[in-house]
Amino acid sequence: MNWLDYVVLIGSILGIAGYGIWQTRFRTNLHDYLKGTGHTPWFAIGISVMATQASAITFLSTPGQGYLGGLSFVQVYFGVPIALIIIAMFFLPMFQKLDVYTAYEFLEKRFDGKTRSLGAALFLLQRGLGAGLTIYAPAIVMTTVFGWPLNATIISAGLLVIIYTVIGGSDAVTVTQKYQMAIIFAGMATATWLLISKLPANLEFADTLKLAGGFHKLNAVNFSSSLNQRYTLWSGLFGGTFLMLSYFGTDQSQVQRYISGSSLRESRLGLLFNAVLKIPMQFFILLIGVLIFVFYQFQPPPMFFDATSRHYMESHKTDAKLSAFESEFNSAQTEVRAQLENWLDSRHKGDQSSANSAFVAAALAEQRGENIRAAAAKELAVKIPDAKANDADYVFITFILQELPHGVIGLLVAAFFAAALSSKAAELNALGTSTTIDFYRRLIKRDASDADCLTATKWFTAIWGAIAITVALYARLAENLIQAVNILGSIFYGVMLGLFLVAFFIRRVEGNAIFWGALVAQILVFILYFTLSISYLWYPLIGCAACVLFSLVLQSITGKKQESLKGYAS
Amino acid sequence: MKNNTGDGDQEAKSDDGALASAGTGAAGLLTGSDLCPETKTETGLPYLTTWNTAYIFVACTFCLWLALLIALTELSA
Repeated sequence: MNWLDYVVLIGSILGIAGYGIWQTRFRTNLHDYLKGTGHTPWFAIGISVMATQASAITFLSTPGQGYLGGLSFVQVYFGVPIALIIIAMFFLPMFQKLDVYTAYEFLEKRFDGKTRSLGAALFLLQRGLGAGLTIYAPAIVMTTVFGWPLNATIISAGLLVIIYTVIGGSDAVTVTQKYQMAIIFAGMATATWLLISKLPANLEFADTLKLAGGFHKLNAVNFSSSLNQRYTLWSGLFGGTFLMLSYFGTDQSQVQRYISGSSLRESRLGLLFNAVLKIPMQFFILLIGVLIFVFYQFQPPPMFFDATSRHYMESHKTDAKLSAFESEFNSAQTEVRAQLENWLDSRHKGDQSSANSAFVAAALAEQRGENIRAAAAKELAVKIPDAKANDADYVFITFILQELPHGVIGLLVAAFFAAALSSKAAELNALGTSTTIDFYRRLIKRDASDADCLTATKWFTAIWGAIAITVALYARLAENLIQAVNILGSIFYGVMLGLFLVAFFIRRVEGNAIFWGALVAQILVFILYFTLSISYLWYPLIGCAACVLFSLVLQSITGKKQESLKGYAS
Repeated sequence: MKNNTGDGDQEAKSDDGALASAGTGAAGLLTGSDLCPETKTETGLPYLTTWNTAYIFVACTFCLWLALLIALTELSA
């Protein structure tokens, strides 16, 4: 990065944060601070919901997922439209009608105080841990690539988001998210345009599709019914629906975004905006990864995208074994390029037979390259056991740094930071709100005035920010970053969703039954997570089903007991 | 602001025997019809004038994307 990149990066990030603070500096009323001034239109709600979900790792890691695994990751989002329709129909009208600050207030109105506390505690636990990861994830990638100090990056980004979220509350989050999303979309669109312009001139659109398809990068839908396969149509449709229903319907960081709409209509349209656009958005982000894959079939790719592995390779050129791997890998890639050039020529001349044989040869050479890469990765794992990072996290940033001009690099790094700040701000805002409304005002200071609660919310927001920074400072990489966040969510979300589904749809279940049923279900999910090896997308469904089932069983037992006690008393 | 949610419904007018007999409605908890969805209001959108048509539109968009993605997968096979 040069001075131009830093000007773009610092100017846009600080500019947006400063604007957010300026616009929302006079929020002295608790309602306005927690839910905004009530003038937020549907478009802003929609952008805010989208920005909250799309963190930096969405934009950093997802193209890498596309590069390595093709479009199959898009199946995770198949549940979004279904989930958002259900929320718009059932959840949202109830939240608006009750004029709640948090989703968990509804649980108290439906069941009792302890069920509300359980729901809020599950949210604080999983979101508090996740908040650390969402700030750590982009920081570790950026610092590994650019050589910035990790701790300083985490602390400075964390402090910036704490400052504007504490000062402006909910409106500051919404106002900044609009401009942060503008930076993100501008960055991604520019990168896509430049990427397409860098593909070989004789590679037509149909050729690109054929090539990507031939290497199984367009395999968007997997019909397999195996529970062990992570991304399938069924895990996306069923597991994904439960995951998204849990996230959008019960996670305060999302609920707080859409209940801040100026009316039920605005909030609903904001949700439906996401229901329509989420799958195309994820598709295009994955497609960027697929196009980078196509690009690197005609340009020499690095053997490893992961920065730690690459730095090690560069600094250990005398290692005979690794050098041999690299040389064999480069030779395989040279053959891929040569064969694909033959394939293009034959294809354009209409010589289908030669084209087919050239493509098969290219595919075999590519597979040979992949085998060499895998063998080299094993060798590297022995030499640098701490380097657990997945290549997926580094594909896009490597392409950006190697291929894009200065200024655009700054814009894209700004986009990653904007995404990190936008989701982080919503999380902190929600954590502060839930701590104040669900615990402080109910259990710690029952006679707290609105002014007390406003001050407490600001303090709790700052404290959660500090906790997130601390978690980020001590975090260690777990497989792939975006998956780590999703896995963490999937462990808790099922039971949270179970609480809400029972609340809405199973009216005979009462407070004690749902409370104990949810606790037992959460313990079951923990046990299953550590003993089974099924896709994480199934855990929300399992947790939710267990919560519903256990609460029904407990209700039938306690209901009978109560009846017999009544009979005895009479 | 909440013209379409029927605020008056919030008082306990339960059609749910279990909750009503448990006395929860009287305790101020949400019961029966309080938990029913409402779809009466209009969206204010051209063509998609009711919420049900808006939901159907979203579902159709999803089906179209699913069809496109399946077609891409077939291309890849």
